[in-house]
Amino acid sequence: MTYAHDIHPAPTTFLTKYVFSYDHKVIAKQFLWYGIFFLGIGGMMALLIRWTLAFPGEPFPVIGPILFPHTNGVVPPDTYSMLFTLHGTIMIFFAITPILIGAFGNYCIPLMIGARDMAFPLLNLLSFHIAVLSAVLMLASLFLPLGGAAGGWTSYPTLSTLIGSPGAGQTLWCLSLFVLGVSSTMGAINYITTIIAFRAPGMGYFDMPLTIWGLWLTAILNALFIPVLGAGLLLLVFDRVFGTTFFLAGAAATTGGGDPILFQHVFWIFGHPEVYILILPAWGMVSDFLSFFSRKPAFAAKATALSMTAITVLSTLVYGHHMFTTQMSPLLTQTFMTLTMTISIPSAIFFANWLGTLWRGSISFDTPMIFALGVVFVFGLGGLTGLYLGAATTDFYLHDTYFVVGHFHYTMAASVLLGGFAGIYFWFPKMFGRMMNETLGKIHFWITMIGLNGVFFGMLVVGYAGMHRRLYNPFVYEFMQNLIPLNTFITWSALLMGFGQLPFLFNFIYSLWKGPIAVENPWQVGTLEWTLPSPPKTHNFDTIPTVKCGPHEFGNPLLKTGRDFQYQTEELVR
Amino acid sequence: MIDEKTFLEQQKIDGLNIASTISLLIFGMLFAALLLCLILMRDNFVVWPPPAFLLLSISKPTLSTIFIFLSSLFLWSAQRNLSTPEKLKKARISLKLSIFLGFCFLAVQFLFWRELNTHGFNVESGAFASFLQAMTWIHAAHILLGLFFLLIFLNRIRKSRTDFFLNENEYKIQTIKINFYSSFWHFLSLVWVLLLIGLFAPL
Repeated sequence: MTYAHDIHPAPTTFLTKYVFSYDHKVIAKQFLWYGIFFLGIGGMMALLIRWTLAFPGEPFPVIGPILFPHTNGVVPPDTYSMLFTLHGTIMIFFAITPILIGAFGNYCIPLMIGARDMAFPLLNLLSFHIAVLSAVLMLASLFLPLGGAAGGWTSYPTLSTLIGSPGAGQTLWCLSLFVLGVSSTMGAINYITTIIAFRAPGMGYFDMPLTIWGLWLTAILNALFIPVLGAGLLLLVFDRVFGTTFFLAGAAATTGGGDPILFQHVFWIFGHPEVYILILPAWGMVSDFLSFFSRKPAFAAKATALSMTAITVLSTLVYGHHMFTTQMSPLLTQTFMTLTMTISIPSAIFFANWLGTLWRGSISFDTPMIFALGVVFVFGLGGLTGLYLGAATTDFYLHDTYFVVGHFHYTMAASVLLGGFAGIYFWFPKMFGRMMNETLGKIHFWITMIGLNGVFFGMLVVGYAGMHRRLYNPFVYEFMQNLIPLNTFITWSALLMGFGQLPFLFNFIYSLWKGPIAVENPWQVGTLEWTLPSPPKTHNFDTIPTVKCGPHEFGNPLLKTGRDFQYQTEELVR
Repeated sequence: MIDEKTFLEQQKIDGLNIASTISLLIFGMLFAALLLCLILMRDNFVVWPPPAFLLLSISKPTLSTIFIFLSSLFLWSAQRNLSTPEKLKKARISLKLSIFLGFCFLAVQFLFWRELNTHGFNVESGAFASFLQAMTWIHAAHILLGLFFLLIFLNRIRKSRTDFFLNENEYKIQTIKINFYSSFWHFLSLVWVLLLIGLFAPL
C-alpha cells in the first residue's frame, strides 16, 4: 500500500462508497444530485408563482388540485407568500450553492490543483450530511400546521417575527439556514485550506485555473460572511423562541424596544457578498471555458484573477445600497453609491478580458461553450441593470419593484444557472466517464436561453412600469391591469423554460448509463484533471504531478506534439 | 528535491495551520456581527445602560472577568511550558487551573443570570435585557466549547501519554492543534471584555 492510499480507507461497502464516502468526487456528485433535486422543487414553485400572476384565480393545471384541494387547485394567498419565500431560499441555498460550490468545488479543486483529496475528508463528508439535515428541516417546515416561512427570502422583521409569521415554519427556516451555514463554513475551511496548502509543486497562484480562483474567492467570502448571517439568524430565533426583542420596535417602551432595521444590516452585510459567493464560481468557469473553446490563452488571465479579487473585496463594502430606502443618512447613501459604482471598474476589466479571449479565437460551439457565451450575455444585462439599483436616485423609484426581481434573476439565477449547466456539460465526461448528447445539449441551451430572457427581461419591463414584487394579485390595482398581457407572456416564457429542462434531465440520466464512453480528454485542454482517466480513480494521482505551465496554453506555433495545447505538466515550449 | 511523503506531511501541517486560522476568523466574524448589532442598538438609546440597571451590583461580571483573565493567564503559562518534557508537569498544573477557572466563570454566569431574572431583567423586558442575556448565553455556549477543547488539550499531555515529543511531525501537528484550542480560549476572553464594554460602558 502506497502513502497515497493512507489518506482515507478505500470504500468496501455500498454505504461507504455512495453514502458516507470520504472521496471528494463522490461528495461532489452527492451535492450535484442534491442541487438538481432542489432545482426541480424551486423551479416548480416558480411556475406556481408565475401561474398565479398570469392567471389569478385560475387553478394550476394537473397538480394544482392535488396540492391545493381546498381551493380547487388555485394557489391560496398565504401559500403564495410561502412559495416566493421558499422559491428564493431553495434556489439560492439548496440548488445554486450545492451545485456551483458543493459539486464543482468538491470535484474540481483537488483534481485541478493536483491533490489527492480535500485537506480534511471527514469534514467534507460531514459538510454534506449537515446540508442534508438542513434540507430536512426546511422541507419539514412545509408540513407544519401553519406552513413554511412566508417572510420572503430576506425574512425582514417584522414579517419574520412572531407578529408576521406566527407558525413554527419561520423558526425552522432560521434553524435550517443556520445548520446550512455550519455546513457551508465547513466546506469553506476545506476549500481555502486545500487551495493554499495542497497545490501541486510548481503551481503558483496564477498557474491555477480561473475556476479555482472563483471557487477560492467564494470560499473566502463564505467563511467570512456566513457567520454574520448566523448571528442574525440566532437573534431572530431568540426573538421567536425565547421572547427577546432585538427586532421588535416598541415592544417594551420602558426599557426601549428593538429595531427591525438591525436585521437588515446584518442580513445585507452577508447578503451582498452572497451574490458574489454564487456568481464567482460561474465567472471562474466561464473565464476558463472561453479560453478552452476559443483555443486561445485567456486574455490577461492575471488581470481577470485580480479583478475577481478586487470585486470580492469591494463586495464586502457596499451592502448599504440594499437599504437606501431605510432613511439612512445622505452621507452614507452617497458613500455606498460611490463604492457600488466602483465595482464597475474591475467588472468591466474582466468582462473586456472575456471579449479579448474570444477575439479572433478559433471558437468551437460545443454545449459547454454556448452556455458560457450565454453567461457573458445574461451577466452583461444583469450587471448593467444593477447600476440603476446601485444609484440612489433611480433606486428610490425602482426599489421593491419587479425591476429588482428581474435584475437579481439575471445575475444570480440566469448567469449562475447557465454557468452551472456549462460546468455540468463540461465535466460530465470526467465525472461519469460518458459523454452527454450534444444535440440535446444545444436544444436545452436555446430553449433555456429564450425562456429565461422572456421571463427576466419581462420582469425588468413590468418592474419599470411600476409593478411591485410579492403581490398576490397586482391586478386589483387598476393602473396595473394593462400589465396583464406582459405578465402572461412572462409566465409562458417561464413554462417554456421549465419544459426546456426536460431535454437536460433526459440527457443527463440517459448519458449516465448509455452515453458514449468518454475518452481521457474529450475537450483537448491541458488542466490537470484531464491528465487522468475518466472517471479518475479514488486517489486521483498515483504520483503528485509537477506543474510547469499555466492552464491556458493554446495555439503555441512552436508546439511539435500534434496538439494545439499543452498539459500543465509539460514544460512550456518556447 | 523533497520526497513525496515529506511533501504530503508538510502539506498536512500547513493545512492545519491555515484551517485553524480560518476557524478563528469564522468565530471572530460571528462575534463581530453580534457586537455590531450591540453597537447599532446602543445608538438608538438616549441613556445606556438603562437607569434601572444601575440598581444591580456589578460584582458578578467583575468576578467573571477576573476568572476568565486568570484562566487565560494560566493557559498561556501552560503553552509556554510545552517546549520540553521536563516542563510538562508544570504545563499540566497550569492547564488544570485554567480549566477550573473556566468552570468558575460559568458558575458565576449562572448566578448572574439568576440575579438578572430576580430583578426583572428577563429576556422579554426590552432590547437592553435581550442583549445582556442573549450575548452572555452565546458567549457561555462558546465557553463550553472552549472548555471541551481545553480538556482535549489536557488529554494530549496527560501523564500516561509519553509519545508527545517522540515524532517531530506529530509534535508539530499536536502543537498546532493545542495553539488553536488556546487561541480560541484567549479569543473568548477578549470577546468577554468587548462584551462588557459594549453592554455596560455608558454612552
